[in-house]
Amino acid sequence: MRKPSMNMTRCVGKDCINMKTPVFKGSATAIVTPFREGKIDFKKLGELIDFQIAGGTAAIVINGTTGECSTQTIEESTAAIDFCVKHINSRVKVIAGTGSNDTQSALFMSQSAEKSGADALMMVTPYYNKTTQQGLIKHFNFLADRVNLPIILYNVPSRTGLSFTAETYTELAKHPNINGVKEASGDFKLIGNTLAACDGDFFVWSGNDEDVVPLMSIGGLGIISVLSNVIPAEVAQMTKLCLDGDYGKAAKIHLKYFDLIDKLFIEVNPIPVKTALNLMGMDVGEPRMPLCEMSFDNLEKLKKAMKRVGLLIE
Amino acid sequence: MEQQSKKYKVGIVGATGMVGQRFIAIIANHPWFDVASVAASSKSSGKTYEEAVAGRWMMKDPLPESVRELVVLSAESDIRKIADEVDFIFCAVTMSREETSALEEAFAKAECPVISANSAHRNTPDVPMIIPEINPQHLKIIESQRKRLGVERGFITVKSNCSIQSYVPALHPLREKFGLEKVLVCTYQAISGAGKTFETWPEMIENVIPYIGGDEEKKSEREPLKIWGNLEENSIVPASLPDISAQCVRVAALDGHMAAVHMSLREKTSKENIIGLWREYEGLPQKLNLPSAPRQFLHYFDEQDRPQTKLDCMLENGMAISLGRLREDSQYDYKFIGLSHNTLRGAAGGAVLTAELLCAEGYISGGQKAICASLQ
Repeated sequence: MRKPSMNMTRCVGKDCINMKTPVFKGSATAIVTPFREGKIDFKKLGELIDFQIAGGTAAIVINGTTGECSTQTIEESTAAIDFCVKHINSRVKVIAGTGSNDTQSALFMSQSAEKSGADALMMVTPYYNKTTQQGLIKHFNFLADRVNLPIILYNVPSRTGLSFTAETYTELAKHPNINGVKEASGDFKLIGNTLAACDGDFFVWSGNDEDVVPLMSIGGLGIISVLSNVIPAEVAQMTKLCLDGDYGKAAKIHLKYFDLIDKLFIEVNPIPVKTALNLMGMDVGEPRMPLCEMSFDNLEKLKKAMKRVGLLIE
Repeated sequence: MEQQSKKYKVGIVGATGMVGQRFIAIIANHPWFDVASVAASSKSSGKTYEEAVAGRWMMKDPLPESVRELVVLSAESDIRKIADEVDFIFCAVTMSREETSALEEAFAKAECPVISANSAHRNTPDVPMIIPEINPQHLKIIESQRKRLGVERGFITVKSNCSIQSYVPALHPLREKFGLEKVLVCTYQAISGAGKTFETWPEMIENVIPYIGGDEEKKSEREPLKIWGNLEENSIVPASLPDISAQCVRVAALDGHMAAVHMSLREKTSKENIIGLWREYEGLPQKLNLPSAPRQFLHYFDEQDRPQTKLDCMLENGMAISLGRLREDSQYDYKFIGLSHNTLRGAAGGAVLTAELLCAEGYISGGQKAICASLQ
């Protein structure tokens, strides 16, 4: 029932919103950003979003890594979030990627996304320059103190070079605005310890398409997915089965697409997923440099995986 | 927590049923309202709310922490107690028409305002049937209803049938500006309107059933006339026009009622004028900026294939009305498609918006007066 921005200031501050309700359950799509002639193709972005909503996707993550946030200007990122909020118009949740390895930049983007009317923020750990566990606690509490939206942390050590510990998660879970984490470490010991320690105050979503069913079976609430860019309905169905406790049926869907998931990450994301969408006739354009077109060999492998599940006709 | 205590205290009567659960879920995140009391049939009374809904909590979000430990009271024998504890109630019970009618009157007579999701009082002449964007002026009838009941604070309001919310909102500004003579409507209604899902109603998969029980078509033809009725001293007198003919069909959609509408206007106008009127239309909830009000009540889509049930029924959190495909017709003046969310705008969400309006307009006292003051 909550509306963005206007009512946040109208009502009595944080108290009127239950920040400890999960931002979403099921499947969220880390949506690709379509480009045409060097610019964001907003008409196409709208079509991609509608394809997602019709498929049962519960939330759209805009400006994630898959959306090539690293190679967009601040103006482009802001415009993309603005467009997304207006186009979606509260049909599903809008989660804006606003993390940075510079705390002040992350604050600027987060407050700007809040002003635009995003429903939640997703913030990656400080990559490249990195920090200590103490630094992670300070960084995220600093940001959480200065926004009025639920925050989903994002742990992806393979890209960032650092990871949270379960103790750090437990500490951050105490902040009313920190809602949970998109976990892409693949470290089930870390995830299990966190879920066991936080007891409903901190939610976990998978950040790896290959981890969905196992992670949901121990209490994860869904996936922030790359795969769902191409098959939104199937990913939504798989997560729904998990939420209903029917892991056997969910695993059948999961395993059917395992090879495709593998091939969607055969080169740096989002190169393969954009290629796959183009092969399906979605016309999302090429990724921006330094990402480049797929190698011929890998393209053949991707096509083969897509044919196997009926996404491309022989 | 000081702010919490300033909120309006709300009772949910019929709290364990599907609509009651939806009220609980919506109010869990509501800036003005707090659930202070829950009541249900004697089967559940005495249990905690968590125990009473164990195994049948149907909402997507988990059972809100704040209601788990509330002890369920008896809807029928604890009326006085509930009325003393709360500022108003939402009532969504599954009793007979006579029992529901008596129960709601008993609450009103105990000086407790009733916002009803039931149909028992829809035809009572001094009970307003409110779509907040369309007929907020009907709230004035509450004064004469209070006189009839012999109370100062209590009253009953009802919501309309969910089917009409997909076309009456679109017709309303046209009726006001051009006059509306004749309407032919066919509704395509989702299964959640029957309290079902595809798991509990597998016969609906790949199916269409050309019948909806409970006089759905009569309601769809008559209720708009009360919504558009004239406010007279002791009653709301239903409008005589437009003539409405309705057919209601159950389709294999989970949420969202669609309507295919044909209409003839008294004064002829252009397609552009109609679309312009829709896009500009603003009701009192928009002017007051009520928490559950959509920013824009009526959305017109230019795309040929919109609105779609699955794609668009959640527009503005399921509180906006989606319209599309306006074109000239060979038998009537125009035809178009409308869509609304049947369990949000059409049921619990619409009732919560009505409650917000009642608070903002001063018909319900208590709660956080500062919020209401800020709205004026």
